[in-house]
Amino acid sequence: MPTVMNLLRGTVTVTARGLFPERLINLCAQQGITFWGLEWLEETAVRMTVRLACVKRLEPLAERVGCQLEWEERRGLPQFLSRFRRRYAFLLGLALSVTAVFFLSRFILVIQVEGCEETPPQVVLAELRRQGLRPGAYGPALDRNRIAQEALKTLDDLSWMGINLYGTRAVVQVRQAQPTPEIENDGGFYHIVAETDGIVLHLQPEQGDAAVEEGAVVARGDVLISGVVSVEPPRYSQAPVYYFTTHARGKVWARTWRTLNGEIPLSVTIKAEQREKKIRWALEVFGRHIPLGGQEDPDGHWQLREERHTLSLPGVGTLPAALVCRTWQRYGEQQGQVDLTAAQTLLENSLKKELERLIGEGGQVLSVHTAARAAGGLLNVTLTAECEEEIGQEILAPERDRPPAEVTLPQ
Amino acid sequence: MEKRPRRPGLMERASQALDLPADLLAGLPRLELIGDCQLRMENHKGILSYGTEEICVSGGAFLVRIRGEGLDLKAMTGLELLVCGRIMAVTLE
Repeated sequence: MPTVMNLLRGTVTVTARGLFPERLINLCAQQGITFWGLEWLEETAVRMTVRLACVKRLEPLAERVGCQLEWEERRGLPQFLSRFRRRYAFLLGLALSVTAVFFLSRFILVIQVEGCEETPPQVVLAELRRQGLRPGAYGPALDRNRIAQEALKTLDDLSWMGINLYGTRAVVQVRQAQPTPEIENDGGFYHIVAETDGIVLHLQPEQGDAAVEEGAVVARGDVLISGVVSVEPPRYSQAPVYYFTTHARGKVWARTWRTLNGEIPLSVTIKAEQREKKIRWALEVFGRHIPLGGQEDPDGHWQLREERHTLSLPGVGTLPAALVCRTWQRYGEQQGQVDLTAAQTLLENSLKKELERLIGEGGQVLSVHTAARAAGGLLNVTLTAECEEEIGQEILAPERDRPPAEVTLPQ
Repeated sequence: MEKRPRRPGLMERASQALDLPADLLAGLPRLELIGDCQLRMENHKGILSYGTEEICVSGGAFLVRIRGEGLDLKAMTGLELLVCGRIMAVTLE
């Protein structure tokens, strides 16, 4: 370590000649001039190494004790740099490069979005780009508060945004907005009807009158819970039955039988790769595509495969510069037969997923039966399933269901 | 003619009487010899002569003569110095 420090600070070897060179040594020790490598050449000469910074202090001391100094060898970084004192082009280049580093480091190269939970970061980046925050923008000139506020106006899913600049890196921190709770509309005249055919297993009316009983067979569109509520008069009273309308609510579980169909062609067009291929290199800087070679993309049956080598720096992340290699592979088209088993499995899985979507989270599949048939160049798969599911569906009741004598209940 | 014995100074005698460290009170030189390769000396008063076989250092009331082979003054400040090499004898005169 001392050797490195001495190299950085610079050292000089000096020979002192005089009647009493040891006096100079003693003076150096007293004045705090660090020396080493002491070598007694003869009775009146001594050689030692001192730091470059101590040279000016050493000269008057040598004069005091009547010694003459001979500078022999200078070493270290200051000596190395002093060689370039008269190389003006080098100094100009050095100054320009330092200025360029200082100036260019104020441009934004990387934008990082943090805190996105539901909103895709690409959406935030696109909006920020629209507001002027993009790779290549001059950082100090950006009004970050204004950009954040303007972006928040468009991005409804976000509640807060902060933009911080760290050199060439802009870190955008966002917070997701809390979803607004759904306000249930208790007004209006609504029925609960059957979404599909089935046998009612259980009814749970919360508002409105049950129109069917458990065990009833219902068809699609039948009213299950009516929005018309009747108010019976007291026994032995001559008052009529009063009706009022409401927003029917409730759940109705039923056993249903679902039939789903799917088909897939038995022959497909297959791409057969040929030997001919073309490679195009391009440079992408700040989103600009600069082709290296100048040839246009080929027309016809060519398949494109793209490899992107993005430039990145440790601690900074991905830079907006990439080397893109596009490989165009020529292909021909030919007809091929689909594997029937694989196609059937594919369709069955697809239909099962569709079935799960239809019966919802609370529903369950009791039994499934599938049948496949190949005809007319198509593979047709039919899935029949017995399920238990909630079939109630809220619809606006037609005006014809509105009772003639309606009373308004106090709120 | 026989050399007259050294007479201790006032501070030196005081330090002896009060049982206090003489190097601190009287500024007497303090020598620390590590094996035969390193000699560290505090409270020196300067080098009188220098060579690879003999170094004479002033200790105020003493003259410290260091004899050896390949002696080298590694470091030196106003208060202390470090001599390296093969030290064969240290005499006080």
